[in-house]
Amino acid sequence: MLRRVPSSSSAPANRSFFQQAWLRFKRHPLARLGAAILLVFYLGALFADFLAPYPEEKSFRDFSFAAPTQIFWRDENGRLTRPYVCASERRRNPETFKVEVITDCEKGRYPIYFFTKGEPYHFLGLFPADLRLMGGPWLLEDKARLFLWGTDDFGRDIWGRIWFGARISLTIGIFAVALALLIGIFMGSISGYYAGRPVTFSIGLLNPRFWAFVRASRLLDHLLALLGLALIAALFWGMAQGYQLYIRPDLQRVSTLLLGMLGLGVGLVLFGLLLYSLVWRSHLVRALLWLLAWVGVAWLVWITVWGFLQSSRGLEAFLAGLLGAGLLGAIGYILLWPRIELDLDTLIMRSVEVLAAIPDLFLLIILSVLIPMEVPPAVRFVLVVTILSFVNWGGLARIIRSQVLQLREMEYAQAAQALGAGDARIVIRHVLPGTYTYLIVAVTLAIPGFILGESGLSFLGLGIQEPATSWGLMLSKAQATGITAFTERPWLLIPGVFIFMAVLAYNFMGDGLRDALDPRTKV
Amino acid sequence: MDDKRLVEVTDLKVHFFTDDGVVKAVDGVSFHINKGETLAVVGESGSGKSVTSLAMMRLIPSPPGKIVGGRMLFRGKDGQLRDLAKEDEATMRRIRGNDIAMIFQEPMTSLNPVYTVGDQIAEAIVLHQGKSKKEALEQAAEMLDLVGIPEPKKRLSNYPHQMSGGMRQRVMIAMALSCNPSLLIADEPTTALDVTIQAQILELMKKLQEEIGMSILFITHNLGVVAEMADRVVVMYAGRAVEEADVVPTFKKPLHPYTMGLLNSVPRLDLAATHQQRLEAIPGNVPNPLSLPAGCAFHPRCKFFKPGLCDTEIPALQDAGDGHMVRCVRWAEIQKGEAVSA
Repeated sequence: MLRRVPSSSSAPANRSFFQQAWLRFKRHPLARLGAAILLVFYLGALFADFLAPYPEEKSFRDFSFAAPTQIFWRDENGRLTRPYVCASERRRNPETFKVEVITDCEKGRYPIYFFTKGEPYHFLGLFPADLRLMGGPWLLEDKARLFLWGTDDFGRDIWGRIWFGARISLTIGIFAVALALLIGIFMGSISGYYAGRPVTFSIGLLNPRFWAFVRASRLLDHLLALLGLALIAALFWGMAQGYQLYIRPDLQRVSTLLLGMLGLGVGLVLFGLLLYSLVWRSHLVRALLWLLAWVGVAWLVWITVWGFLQSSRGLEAFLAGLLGAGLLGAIGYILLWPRIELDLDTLIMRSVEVLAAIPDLFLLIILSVLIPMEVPPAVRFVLVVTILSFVNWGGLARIIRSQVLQLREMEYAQAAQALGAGDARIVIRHVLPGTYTYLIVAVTLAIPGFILGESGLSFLGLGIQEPATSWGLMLSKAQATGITAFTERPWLLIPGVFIFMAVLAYNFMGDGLRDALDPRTKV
Repeated sequence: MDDKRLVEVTDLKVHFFTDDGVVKAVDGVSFHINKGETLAVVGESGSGKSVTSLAMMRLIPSPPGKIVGGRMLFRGKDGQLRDLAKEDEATMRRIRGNDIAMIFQEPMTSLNPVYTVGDQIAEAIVLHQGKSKKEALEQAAEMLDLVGIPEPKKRLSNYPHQMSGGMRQRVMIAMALSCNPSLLIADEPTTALDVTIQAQILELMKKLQEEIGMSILFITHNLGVVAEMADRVVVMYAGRAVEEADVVPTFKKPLHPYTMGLLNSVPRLDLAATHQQRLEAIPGNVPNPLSLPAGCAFHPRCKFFKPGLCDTEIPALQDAGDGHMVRCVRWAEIQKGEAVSA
C-alpha cells in the first residue's frame, strides 16, 4: 500500500550562493571578530554625540593635556558606591612643583549618571536630542569634568573625539574606495575588453568616410540638434546662476553641499538626455563637436606655449617652442589623418604603471598641497577622498581587467554578441556581473589602505584640518609633544590603537569574505 | 539575386594574419541558401566551416582575422538586399539576432550564469523589437513553450545551472528564434549532447523550421545528422568547398574522393551486422593551413591521386549536372567508375 511521505523529510533545501557564503563566513572566527569590531566602531561613529559627554569642539583651556579623570568606586567610608568623579583644578603640585591637574575629593564628589540629560545636540544633524551616555547636572554646570581618556592640547575630551573622528576616518575609506572603484571599473573594463582589439580613435578630414558620416543625417536632425544645443546652453546658464545664488555663500554646510551635488547630478542627467536624444542624431553637429574639442585643446596648448615664449629666453624658449609645435602638429595630424587606431589597453595599463611607479605618499602630499587651506571642512573631505582614490584606482583597475579578459572569452559573451548586443551592453550586462565576488573582496581589502592613507595625510597636517577631526589628526598631537608623549601623555596614542584595530578588522573581514565568496571553494 | 534565395555567398575569403604567416581559413567559398531550406556544411576540424558561419555574422575576431574578399548577399526581413561583407557595425548589430541568429556548440557555457533564462531570452526581444520588459517576458514564456519546455512560466525564473544540457540547448534555440530570424546558423548544436537528446533537439529544429519557415545553415561533422536534417550539403576541405549537392546525390553518388572517404568512415548498421564492413579511415591528417600542398589540397591523402595532374594547379569547381558541383579534376572518371586508385 502506498503511503504519503511527509514532505518535511525531503532533502535539505537548496542553499543559494549567498547563503553558502554566509555559512562559510560564519565559520571563520577571525572574520567574525573583524566584523564585530567594525560593527562596534561604525555604531560608535553613528552615535558619537550620545557616547561623548561633551560636544565635539568644547575645549577646556585650563585642562590641556589632562590625564584621564580618575573614577572612584568607594565612598569615604570604603563602601562600594555608584562611580563618581571628584572636583579637580589645575595648579602647582606642592610635592613635584609641576603644574598639573590635581583631583581633590574633599572639594566635591559628583556621581556619574548613565543615560542622562547632557548638552543638546542634533542626532545626525537632524533630530534634536540631549540624551548622553554619561554625565550629570554637575557636568552641565561645569563643577567637575569627565575626561575618560584624557584631553588633547586644547583640553578637548579624547574619548568623545575618538568617536567624532571615527565619522571621518571610517567613512573616508568607504567613499574613497567607491570612487576608486568607479574609476577602476571604467578603466579596467575598457582595458580588458579592448585588449588586443585596437579601437578607431579618430577618422580625419582626409578620410572619405568622415564626409560620408557628416552627410548621413537629415535636415530635421540638424535643426533638432540646434534646438538641443540651445537648451544645453540654457541649462548650463541656469546651473551657474543656481550655484551663485544658492550654493556658494553657504558652502560649508554639508546639507547645501549635498543639495548642490544633487543639482549637479540632475543637470548632468538632463545634459546627457538632451545630448543623446536631440544633438547626437545630427552627424554634422557630432563632427563639429569633435573638431571643436580638438580646437579647444589646440588653443590651450597655444596660449601655454605663447606664455612660455613671452617669459623665457634662450634654450628654454627654444625647447618650449619645439614642444608646442610638436603638440600642435600632433593635433593637426589627428584632425587630418584618415584613420588613427588606438590600443586602449596599452594606454590605460601603462598609465596605471606610471602611477604605480610614483611613491604613494609622495604623490598624496603633492596633490594635498594643491588644496587651498581655507576651504570649508566638507569640501576638504571631498577633495581628500578624490585625491586618495585618484592615487589608488590602479590596483582595482588591474583586478577588473584580469577578470574581464577572462570573462569576455566566455561563450555567453559571444552569444550576446551574436544576438546583436553592442560592446557597452556586453561589458555592463554580461561581463562585469561575473566579477562582483572578486570585487567585494578586493574592495574590503582596499579600504584599510585608504584609512591609512587618510591617517598619514592628516598626521602630516595635509588631510583633515581643525576643527574637524580624524584619528590621524588626533594622533599627530602625540607627535607634536615629542618623545614625552610615550612617557607622560600615553593617552594621546589611543587614536593610533583605533587605526590599528580598524585596519586589522578590515583585513580579517576581507580574508573571511575571500574564503566565503571564492566560487572555487565548495562546502 | 534570385527571389528564391535568401543568402548568396560568392568567393568568400577569410584570412588570419598570424605571426607565423597568413592562414587562409576560408579561401574562395561560394554557396547559396534558399528560403526555408537547410544547408549543411560538413568537414573536419579546421576545414573552415565555423569561420564561414562567423564571417556571415561578421564576428571574425579582428585582429588577426579579416574578410579579405567576396560577397555575402543577404535578403533581410525588410526585403532589402545587403552585402554583409560591406555593412557597417551598427547595421550588423541590427541584423544579428534579428535577421540572422546563431546557436552554439556548448549549451553549458552559452548561457550567462548570473541571469535567469527568462531575462536572457527577453534581452534579445527588448533589444530588437523595442518591447517592454513585461511583454518580452511573456513572449519569452511563449518561446519556451514552443521549444517544448514544460511549465514555461515557472522556468522563466530558473537559472541556467538548474537545467540540464538538453534543456539549455532548447533555451538557446528559444533565444535564437525569439526575434523570428530568417536564417538560423547552428554551429554543431548537438555535439555536446548525448545521443537521445541529440535526436530530440534535431527533431525540434525540424519542427520549428516547418512552423516558422526559416532557413538553417547547419554546421556539423556528423554525417548522420546531415542525412537527417539537410536539403543540400556543402563539403569543405582546407578552406575550400570541394563538393556541393543535394543531400541524396551526396550520399548515394559522391563525386569527390574526400566525400567518399568521409562516408566510408561512418559505421553502417546494415553492414556491421553481417561483419562485412571494416571501417575505412582517410589516411594522413588535415594539412597545415600555413603551407597547403600545391594543387588540390587533398591530393596527399587521395586514393585517386595522379602525379602531375592533381598536384599542379587548384582544380575549379565544376558542374557535374543537376547543380552537383565538385572540385576534382578526375570527377568524370570517378562518376563513370573508371578511376583507378593509385
